[in-house]
Amino acid sequence: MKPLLLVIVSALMFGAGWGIFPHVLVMNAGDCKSETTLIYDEPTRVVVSHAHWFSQYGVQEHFYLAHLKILSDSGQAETVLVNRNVGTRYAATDSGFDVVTNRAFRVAGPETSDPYWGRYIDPLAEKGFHAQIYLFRVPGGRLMTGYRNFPIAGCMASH
Amino acid sequence: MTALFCPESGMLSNGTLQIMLTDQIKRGLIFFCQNEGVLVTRQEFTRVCWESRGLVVTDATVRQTVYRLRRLFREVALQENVLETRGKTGYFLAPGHICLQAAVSVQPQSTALAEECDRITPPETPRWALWRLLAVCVLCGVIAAVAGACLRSRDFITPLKYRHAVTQHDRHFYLASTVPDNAPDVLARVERWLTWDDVRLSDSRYVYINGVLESYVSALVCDSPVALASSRCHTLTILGDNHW
Repeated sequence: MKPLLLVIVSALMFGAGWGIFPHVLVMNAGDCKSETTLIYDEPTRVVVSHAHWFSQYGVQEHFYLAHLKILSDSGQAETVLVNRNVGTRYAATDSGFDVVTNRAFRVAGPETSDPYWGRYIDPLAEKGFHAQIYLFRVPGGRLMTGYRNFPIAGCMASH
Repeated sequence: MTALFCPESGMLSNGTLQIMLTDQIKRGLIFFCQNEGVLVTRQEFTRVCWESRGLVVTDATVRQTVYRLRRLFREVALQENVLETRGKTGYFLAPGHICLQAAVSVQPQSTALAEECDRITPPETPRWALWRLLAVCVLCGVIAAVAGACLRSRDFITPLKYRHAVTQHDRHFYLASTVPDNAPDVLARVERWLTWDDVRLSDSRYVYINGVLESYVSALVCDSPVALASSRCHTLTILGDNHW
């Protein structure tokens, strides 16, 4: 009877540890800041997006600040600042997180629907963004996020 | 047949039955155990168990104490003649029938008796058994939970491993294990864009190429090795391959 009880308790706790791990990861994520540079090398111009993501409460609340610059081949340059307050929710899957942007408030800058600038704004900053996000660990222990086999962004500093 | 007696608690036990002795009976049994195998006089018994404590008792009380002891021996399946009354001389406790649990230092009469004493252990009270089971369950549960979390972390987080590709113009380039070796154009592209974007060399000495897919490149650019906790890094993503 006692061995059976121990086996049952161990199996239940193993499942609990397995299931709770992603949530513990998020709870301990804390606040972080990440810097990203995206270069869109288009046929007639180059668009550069220098962005900062300030994330709080793990992966649930973010502030997006981006400086977009369009440099056409003719030498013309245009810049714009984009600010967003973004809320996301997540659900753990077998190998990552299912992330949805459920709230995006425009603080400054063009809308994501803007035909000229909109497509250069980080898609995570748009309400309705939905993707499977994977986690990667770089040497030293810090984590990066991205798509399958493609790390894209990382929390490289706390703020 | 032997019984186990704990002088501290006053518990007399035969392994299955436990009887708590009264103080008077307990003192009497302690005295007899200290003198087992030796004929003790009634006077000595009375002096040690009562008069030394300032009590004056009658012979009837002494006899009643011995009678109660014999009755208790019967209850724990000891023979009554374990404690004999030797006429008017005194009392004799046959050696080897009572095992003492600590406190009173009475040496067992033989190794066989000592082994038998060891075998007779008082049954664990239900409360202690429950606490011990709970502690074992908690320990097993914690170990199992940690094992489950560790196994999940292996599937959940992909470790990135890098290999050094080249060092050029004071920049160290590394390739992730998923990036093929034959990607020299990628390194040149990344370096050109870093220069074009006026990224300071001090902020981009270490470049880690994380992903390459046709014209798409993803890299981590750091001022020092990424393994260092103090290194400052930012990600660089290049989409398109039109200008270079």
